[in-house]
Amino acid sequence: MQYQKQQKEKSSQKGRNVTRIAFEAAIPLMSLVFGIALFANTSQMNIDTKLLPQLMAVPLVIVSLLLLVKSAGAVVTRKVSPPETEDEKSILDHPKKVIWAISLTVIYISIIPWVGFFSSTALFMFALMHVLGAKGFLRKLAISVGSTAGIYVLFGLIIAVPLPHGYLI
Amino acid sequence: MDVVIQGAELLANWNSLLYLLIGLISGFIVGCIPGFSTAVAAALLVPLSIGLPLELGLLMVVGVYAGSQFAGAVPAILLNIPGDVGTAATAMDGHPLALQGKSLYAIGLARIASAMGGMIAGIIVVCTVGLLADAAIRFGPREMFIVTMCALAVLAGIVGNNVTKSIVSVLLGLALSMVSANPQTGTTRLTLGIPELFEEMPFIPAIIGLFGIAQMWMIATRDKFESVDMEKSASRITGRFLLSDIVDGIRTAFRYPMVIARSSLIGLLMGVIPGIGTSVANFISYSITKKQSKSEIPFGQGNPEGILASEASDNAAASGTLVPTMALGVPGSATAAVMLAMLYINGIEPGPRVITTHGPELYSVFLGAMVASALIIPVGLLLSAPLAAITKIPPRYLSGAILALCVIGAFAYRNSVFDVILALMFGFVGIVMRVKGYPVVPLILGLVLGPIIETNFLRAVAIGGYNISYFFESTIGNVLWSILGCIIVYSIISTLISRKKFRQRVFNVEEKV
Repeated sequence: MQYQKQQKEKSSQKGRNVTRIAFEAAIPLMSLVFGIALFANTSQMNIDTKLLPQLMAVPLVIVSLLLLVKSAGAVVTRKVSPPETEDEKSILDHPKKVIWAISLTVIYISIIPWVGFFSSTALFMFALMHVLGAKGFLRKLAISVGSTAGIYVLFGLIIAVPLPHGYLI
Repeated sequence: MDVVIQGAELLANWNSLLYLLIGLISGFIVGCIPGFSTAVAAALLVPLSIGLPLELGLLMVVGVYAGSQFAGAVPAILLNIPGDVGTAATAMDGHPLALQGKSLYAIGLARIASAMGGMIAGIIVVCTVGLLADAAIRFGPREMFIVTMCALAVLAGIVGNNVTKSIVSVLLGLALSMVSANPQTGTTRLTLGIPELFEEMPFIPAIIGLFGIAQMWMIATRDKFESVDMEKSASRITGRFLLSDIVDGIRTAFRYPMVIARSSLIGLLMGVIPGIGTSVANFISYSITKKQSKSEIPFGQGNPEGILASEASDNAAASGTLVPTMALGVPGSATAAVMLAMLYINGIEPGPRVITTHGPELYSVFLGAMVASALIIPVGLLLSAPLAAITKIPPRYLSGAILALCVIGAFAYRNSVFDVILALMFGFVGIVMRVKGYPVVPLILGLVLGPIIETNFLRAVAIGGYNISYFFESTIGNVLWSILGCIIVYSIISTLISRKKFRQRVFNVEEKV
């Protein structure tokens, strides 16, 4: 029993380290790829068009490589420094909540053109409250429907700004 | 002097003050919503102004301008979601104060600073509008390019503790801003055939994603917004505490008169130069104040000087943009462009002659900007105090509504679903940047300054016949180059001195141990 508990803790710690290394490498990798893409895309263009993009891309690639080498060092030596920010600690302690929040937001934005803005907003708010631990079905329903109605009144009627629309409401 | 008095007479009646107040309150409400810029708020009122006398329509827009410039600070302080680019500077010290349970105090500081910045700039504008207009007209693409390089150099002062990550952030912002069509040749760069990217990489969806969406995803892990005990802080929304908040704000603001005066001047100068944008003024003021400050409270952890610097320059810049708009017909900002449209609708062609042909209306606008700034104090008190209660609501109930507002804000910018998707993508980038300690503000600044740098550089190069010496042939340009050199030298020396002091402190501590 204790052995299983230790194994579980070990794999959880391994998962955390992998996540942290992935986060560590994400921005430098993205910057490196983007810098190279920008440089390559503008290489055949005339000097007016390519000068400033390439002036930005070259130092971006260099600095990103330096940071990638540093994070690669962490992978090779398997030494991960302690969490640098409070946000990192929060996300490692509650990964499920963050993953749910992100997933629901992506689904929400995807379904707006089909379900309609107001319906999808109400559904999204209800679902998000539920996964974040809000209690009371009626309370969640009232807040999601009430907030959506408030958004309609403020933005649709009073300020009258165009809102995203879909096939339904 | 007569024309100033006539302008004051136009302003000094209940009708004018009513429309000014309508604009102020409308601007405040819209300005609180992330993504809804001042220009959106002003544009929404243009149809209402048709049929009104010119000065009433202009006063309404001036009220919107003042209201929304301040209102952007409210979500920046409470939720770390800037209402506009410039208020990201306010958020850097305002939000940490809110997390300490001092949200009303922080909003009070922003309110007083906005009011004082607008009034100081307003007085200077009324007295020197002709001189300022003369100065603005001398700034061509060459001078604008050097000014933006100075802005980049000054902004280096607000980078976070990790210099490498800050450099990546600003370079990423500058590089991302290049994803658009070249302003001169029209050739698209890395736009992937997406029409929405031809004009620019829009920074409103970027702000919404990096700050709003990423922030709400992170807050999902928490049970409360504030890090102080909610029961203790719940009693803060009472009349007694509101009054003490005002007194604290005023007292604190008067402890830093130089910060407010200097920031107001910076904001005014940045606003007068057409094309720079008011948002850059906030960051320049913040950066300079950070370098000059002798406070023991570190910037970025709730230093009141940071809020005062950002907000004073914000409203001062708004007054400054009125000068090139009215006196030269060159809008200093998007909102000023709305005012320009109103002038044309009323058959008035702005320019140097407008001071003589429509002097009273012009001065009523400048004086109206001052009055609107003063009105921020009572209006801000009434409207922002209830908003501060938002931080008492647990994030699990509020996150969904704020994410919906982010979607609305991103969509409203250009009525485009692509901007919503872009905001989502920036949300992913924002959350990773926050987790690994990459500062987000330099990325936003890179996005804002990149197109300005490129446009003015290419224009200057074309005007100068591709001759590099053209950049050194103007007196104003050479003065700006000298300022740039001084900024860079000062930054290097102050960094070396602060590192030496840090090492000395560490060695002293180690010796004592």
